[in-house]
Amino acid sequence: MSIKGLATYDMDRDYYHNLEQGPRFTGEIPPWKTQPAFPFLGHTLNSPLGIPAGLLLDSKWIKLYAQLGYDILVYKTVRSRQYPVHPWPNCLFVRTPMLSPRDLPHRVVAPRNWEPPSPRQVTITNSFGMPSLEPPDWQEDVERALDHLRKGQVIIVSGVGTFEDSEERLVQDFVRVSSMIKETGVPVVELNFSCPNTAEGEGVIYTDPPLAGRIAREVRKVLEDTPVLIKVGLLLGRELKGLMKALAPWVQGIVGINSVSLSVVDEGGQPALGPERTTSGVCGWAIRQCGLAFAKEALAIKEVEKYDLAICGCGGVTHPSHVEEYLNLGVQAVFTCTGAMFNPYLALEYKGVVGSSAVPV
Amino acid sequence: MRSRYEPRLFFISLAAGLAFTFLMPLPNSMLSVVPWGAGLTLGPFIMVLTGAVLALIYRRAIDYNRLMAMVMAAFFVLYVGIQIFSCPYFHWVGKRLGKTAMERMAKGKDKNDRLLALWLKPRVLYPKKKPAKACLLEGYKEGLGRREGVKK
Repeated sequence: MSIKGLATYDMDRDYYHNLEQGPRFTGEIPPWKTQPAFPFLGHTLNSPLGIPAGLLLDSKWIKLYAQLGYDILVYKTVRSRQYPVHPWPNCLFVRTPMLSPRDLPHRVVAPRNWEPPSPRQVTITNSFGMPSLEPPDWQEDVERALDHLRKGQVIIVSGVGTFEDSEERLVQDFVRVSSMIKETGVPVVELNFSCPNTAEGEGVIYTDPPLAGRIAREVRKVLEDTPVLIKVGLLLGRELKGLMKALAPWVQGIVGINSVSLSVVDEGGQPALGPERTTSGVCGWAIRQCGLAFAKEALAIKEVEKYDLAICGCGGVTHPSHVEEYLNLGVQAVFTCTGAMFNPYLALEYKGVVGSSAVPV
Repeated sequence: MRSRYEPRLFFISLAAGLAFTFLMPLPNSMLSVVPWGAGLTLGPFIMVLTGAVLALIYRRAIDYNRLMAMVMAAFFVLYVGIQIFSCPYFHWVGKRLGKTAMERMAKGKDKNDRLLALWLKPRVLYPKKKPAKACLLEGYKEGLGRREGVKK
């Protein structure tokens, strides 16, 4: 079977097909025992491994991945209104060496008719633009998703405000969508402050600490004691320190990194996703060093400043040993998206339920 | 009857009132638990109370009425002065309070700003017409890092 054929998200079909017909999975799910032992934001989980916002399009996806042993399940980012998806194609394989966090390339190549050598080495570009159903539809679906959880698992719903013309309205929309998420009864809310496929407005909030802090503070008022996580993109050094300082009073944790926004071209040098989308998010195997660098710096800042923040690592986790690599740094949780998309058994491999024959790359 | 004690007692009362007024709102003081600004409102009253207690103690050695007249005059000057002329001070105090609150929340599990929530609750009287408290609140919000209404 081709690597593409292994993915639960059908890259050859559009988003709505995957939403309605997905996830694509016909394998067997071996039995595994729930053993809650890992504390996470007031919950005790079977493991600190989860799936970040992006892959779990709706409750059907949550159900599958909960059965497959992922214990932190983040529902794909929702908005306070219906919002369209970017046109197909939304996912392409990218051929690139491991990215260096301090020396990112100007562009990477997504060749046509090329596949990575193994599911452990998959790097993709994705471009969806954070589509959303109407709030009553996703709220109803989130309530359904809550029924699919096993003991020691938690659902987080990711939300984003929609930028129109001013920061004020953006803040208010974040407050609105957070209230809507809280209504569903989920125990943790995530705010997405970084979308590599939204060039301005809501996609780059993580680069603007005062605005990020303001949104977090206003959302805190309506969420009261509900834990809040913030999803951020690749930031290092002073920028990361500034962001953490702005967020630490109001939120319980930071999740990073989101996919890395880069110029993605085809072999002819043309934008791989069409002229309208010259940049898009790159995720998977190649961004692991970026994710590790982020986690390392965030944890160091947390230690020095004595912030009470959960740091959650994300980026490039395609093998159980990568989970350990993140945990050894001191993160509270580890997320895998591309890894779980191409190898749904990754969590069961990590738990030792299924053997992991492949050597980590 | 006049005595050498009266000015001394007056200044002791004044010092008590001023200390309460200007020191209580500082971060980590009682204001953190009495969120409506105890120091600002109660400072002048503390002065009167101190004056009255001292006047009672020394009633045989002083002109009671004279001392209390001095204290009451100072009360009005202080009270009105606080409300009108001390905005920069209270703005500064508020800003420090805001920064302290940020730090406390950043390092603690409780991420709710209960001080601001209490301040802004309708049941807590927050007379915006009183400049001192308004300045304190403005400073506090600034200390929290608020940046309002900026068009992007």
